[in-house]
Amino acid sequence: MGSRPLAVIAVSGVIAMLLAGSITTRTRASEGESDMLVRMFGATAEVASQSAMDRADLYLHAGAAHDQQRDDPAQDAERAHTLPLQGVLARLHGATAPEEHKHIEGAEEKELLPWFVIAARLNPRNIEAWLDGGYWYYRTGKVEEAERFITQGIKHNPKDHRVYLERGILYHRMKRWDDAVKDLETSIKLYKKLNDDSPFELKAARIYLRDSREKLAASTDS
Amino acid sequence: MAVSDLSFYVNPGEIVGFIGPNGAGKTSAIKALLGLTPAPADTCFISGVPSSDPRSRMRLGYMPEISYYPKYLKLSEFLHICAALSGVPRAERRDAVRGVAERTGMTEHLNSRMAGFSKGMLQQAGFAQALLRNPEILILDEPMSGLDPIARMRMRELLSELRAEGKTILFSSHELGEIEMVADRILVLSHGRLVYQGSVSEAVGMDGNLERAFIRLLQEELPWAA
Amino acid sequence: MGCLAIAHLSVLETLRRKEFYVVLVLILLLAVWLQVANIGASQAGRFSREIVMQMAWLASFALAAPLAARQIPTDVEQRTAYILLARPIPRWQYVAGRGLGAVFASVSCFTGLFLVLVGMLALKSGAAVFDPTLWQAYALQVTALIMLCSLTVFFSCACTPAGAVTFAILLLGVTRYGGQSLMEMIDRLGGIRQYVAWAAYLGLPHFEFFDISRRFVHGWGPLPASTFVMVLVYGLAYAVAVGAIGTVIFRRKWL
Repeated sequence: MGSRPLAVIAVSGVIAMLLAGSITTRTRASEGESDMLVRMFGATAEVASQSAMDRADLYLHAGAAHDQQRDDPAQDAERAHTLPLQGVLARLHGATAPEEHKHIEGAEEKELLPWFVIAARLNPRNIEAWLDGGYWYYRTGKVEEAERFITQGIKHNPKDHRVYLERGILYHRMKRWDDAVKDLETSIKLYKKLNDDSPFELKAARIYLRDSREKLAASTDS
Repeated sequence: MAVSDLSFYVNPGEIVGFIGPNGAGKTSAIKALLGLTPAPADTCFISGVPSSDPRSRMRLGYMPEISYYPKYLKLSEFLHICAALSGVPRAERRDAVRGVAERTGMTEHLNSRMAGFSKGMLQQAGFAQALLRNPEILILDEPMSGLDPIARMRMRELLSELRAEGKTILFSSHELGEIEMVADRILVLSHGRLVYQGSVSEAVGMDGNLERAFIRLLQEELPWAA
Repeated sequence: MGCLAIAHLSVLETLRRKEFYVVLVLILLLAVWLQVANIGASQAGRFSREIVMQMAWLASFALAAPLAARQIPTDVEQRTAYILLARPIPRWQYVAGRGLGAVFASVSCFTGLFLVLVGMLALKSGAAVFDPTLWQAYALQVTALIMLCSLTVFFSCACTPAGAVTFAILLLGVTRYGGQSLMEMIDRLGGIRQYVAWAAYLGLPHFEFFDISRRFVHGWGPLPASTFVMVLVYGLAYAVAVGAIGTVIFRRKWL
């Protein structure tokens, strides 16, 4: 095949892929409908989505990968290196990649957001992406974006209790007691279908639900 | 082994035709002369220099049998690069390229991409690059292949001119008629061995033409082919 | 010198092949899309820096490996090598020339793409462009490309272009993304196995030292000068050593 048709096919393929990604996130996903990207690229999209989550974790730790963090890099440098040139290579590894354990703070936290969006778009079944993304949108002060983001997560995963729990907690923080009660009740109902013994999430849902009901009752009375 | 116990010489200023049936070992012998395939030590020399030494190719021009050339290049670019590799000084390259292009009738195609050349044009381009740096020795593998009758006549005239200039030419060909017209001596190869070396007139003498002489020589070599 | 003429030939051939430009255009499209798509990146400076680095690195490797892999095998298969080697140049100059041509072409393309992407970054955050870490990263990536081209040419002297690309990219991936982990794994071995594994590890091309994108993206500052020079010298020395071995293999090759 000549280079010109090959170029046309390659460019068309990429444009189609990009359009598919854009179109998918703008359309309303009906219950149980799997995303076009995941359908097209399957496991690759899932792996890429997880990579985006790993990247978010890397950003949270200001560029130091979790397994490379050292609370005291100097201490490691003191360790005996018995193999030839091992000390040199260890110093080079330490020099080229950050190792110190630290987190980004304040305004820098918004740096995490694109990675959660990418992770969620690549694999809408990646619940952690919706949950963490929603949390960090709220933490960086983007409350309305947080609500929109988690709502998208619910549309793609209507049977998962965790996204309802996350949005319920968000509504609780926004003092929208009525919406909080609805989501938390839905979360608990979905959770009970799992036949799992009470872990942290169920306890959290019950605590927030009780508080939301009390606050709703109080606001109705007043 | 493609060739075995092959021993021949080429005198300065003569044209030697190198002939043999398909698979006789002509191309293998040429590749050994050019150092493209290893030859046993101290067996292959060009002007006294071992063929494995790049210096043996200082005064040598080679035209390959199958005309594969970098198709993305223009002829002028290709010839400039070949001139540089042949050691033509930078200041002389332009004139050298123009000179060989004129000699082979390729001047008007200098700025054309070689991808668009016909087989005959590629042969002429191949001959042009072989003539760069005015080599004393030319090794031509099937130089007439793909040429129309007028181009063949021009090639024969060019070979005669080169011989008159004192060039030594070894060329292999299946076109026995062309060899008969141009060559002084012939080397006949069969199954990697030299079965005849001598003047064209001697070879033709008994049989009337080179083709019959060639067949006779091969039959003597291979009685079952009678 | 013969190798410069052959390098010139390689560069001309590369620049006139159309698929070369396809990769550049695809990468640029992807980079632009990632910047403008609605993914919350409008205020994310680190994300923009990350995109510039990763797109440039990805494109450069995607261009360099196939380019270097087909230099010699294509020449030999199509017999265009005969015309070049029938001239008074030793085979090592031919191999060096083909390798240099791949390097010139790859580095030129990478530099052009890099400048365009940095231009995009400058529109967002001008100060990042003057960060010395960025330019250190560029120099290290150029050296990594030289290593990759040399490694791929070495493999191509012994196997097909597809095989050469596969081996080279495999080594690139393993060392770039797992170099430190490998070292830690070997550290946990014992006895003779550890020494054998360590000897093999030392012979690997350590591409991981040439990626300081994280330092640039997260503002960790440039490498100390001594470390920077050490890594550059290592890269160039490795490229020359591997190229020399490739030349030895090619010298014995029947054409």
